[in-house]
Amino acid sequence: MTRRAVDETTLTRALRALAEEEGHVETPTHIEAALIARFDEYRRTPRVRRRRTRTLVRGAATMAAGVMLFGAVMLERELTPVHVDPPRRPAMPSDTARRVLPSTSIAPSTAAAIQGPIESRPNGPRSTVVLVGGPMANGELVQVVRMRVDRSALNALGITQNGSADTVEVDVLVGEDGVARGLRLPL
Amino acid sequence: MREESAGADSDLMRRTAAGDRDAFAALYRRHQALVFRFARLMIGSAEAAEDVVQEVFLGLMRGASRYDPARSTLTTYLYGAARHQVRRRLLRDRLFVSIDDTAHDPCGGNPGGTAADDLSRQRDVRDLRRAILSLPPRYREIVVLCELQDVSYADAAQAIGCAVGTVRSRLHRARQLLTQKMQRARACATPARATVRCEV
Repeated sequence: MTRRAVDETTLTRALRALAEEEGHVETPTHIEAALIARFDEYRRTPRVRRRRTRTLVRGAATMAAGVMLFGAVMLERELTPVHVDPPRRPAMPSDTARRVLPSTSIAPSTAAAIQGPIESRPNGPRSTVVLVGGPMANGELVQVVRMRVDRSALNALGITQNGSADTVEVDVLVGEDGVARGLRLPL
Repeated sequence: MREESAGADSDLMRRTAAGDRDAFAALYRRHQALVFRFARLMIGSAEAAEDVVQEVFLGLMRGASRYDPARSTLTTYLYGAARHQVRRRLLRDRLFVSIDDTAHDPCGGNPGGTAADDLSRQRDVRDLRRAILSLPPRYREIVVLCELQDVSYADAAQAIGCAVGTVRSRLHRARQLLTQKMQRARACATPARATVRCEV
């Protein structure tokens, strides 16, 4: 008989002996009494109340999850660095731009709002707004469309810009009638 | 026989779901031992096994109306629930409780054997308990189910949620590991003879 066979036999014999020992093991009697008591208690509680309790627990869990999510979002917002440029005077548009859009055609409050500091920049920390197209009415809603514009087109408007790329990424302020009101572009 | 038992279980479950206290008690008496033994062999502690039994039967009480006899037998269902509870406990505790020596049956020896045989047998069983507890849970549960609880491979596979072939291969590997562990235990138990130099 090989050593392996002996080991196998020993293991099988030990397993049988252990199974035999375990065959007599029973759960202590107090467990049954406790379970039956819990069963009675469970059955005494009306189903509607159980359902209501379950609903309350679920509602509380949902609310807690919502509060945690809200807190996490707020915390993330607080931690995200927001770059704000110091208020400064926008770059002077060229004579061409002045001819296209006379400054007198814009309501003073709108012009002041546009010339104020801009928090979101398309391409870099320093950018400016050039007023083009038709006049902007007071309180008019504008949309911002980000697009690439040929450098030559900007040059035609009299806007000179540093850089060597053929196109420049700009934000176009489009009025309610679909006509561009201004360009926001990096310096 | 098995169909009769399954039918009786289904009937008891239906009555339990309807709120029949006696049916629940009968279910408990029929199946408590297998859950308790499984948990005790898996965890190595009688107290922890009692908790598992309570959790399993409380779950059975709450979910009696959802039990579907077409999906599995009640025994398989209970083994699955017990396995889930045992795994949760093992994950929570992250340690194995020492073997519960007080629960050993002192009269469990072979009545026909000699005292030396009995001693050797008891030592083998003790080593085997330790070896089983030191197995990884996926091997341990297979040994407990198939070798110690006489559960068929098909039922074990259903309770564990794997293929029958997986049960076979795990059992084979588990037996190899147990053999190695028992050899090591025997080697440690044998006093080593060493030459000692006497200094005068």
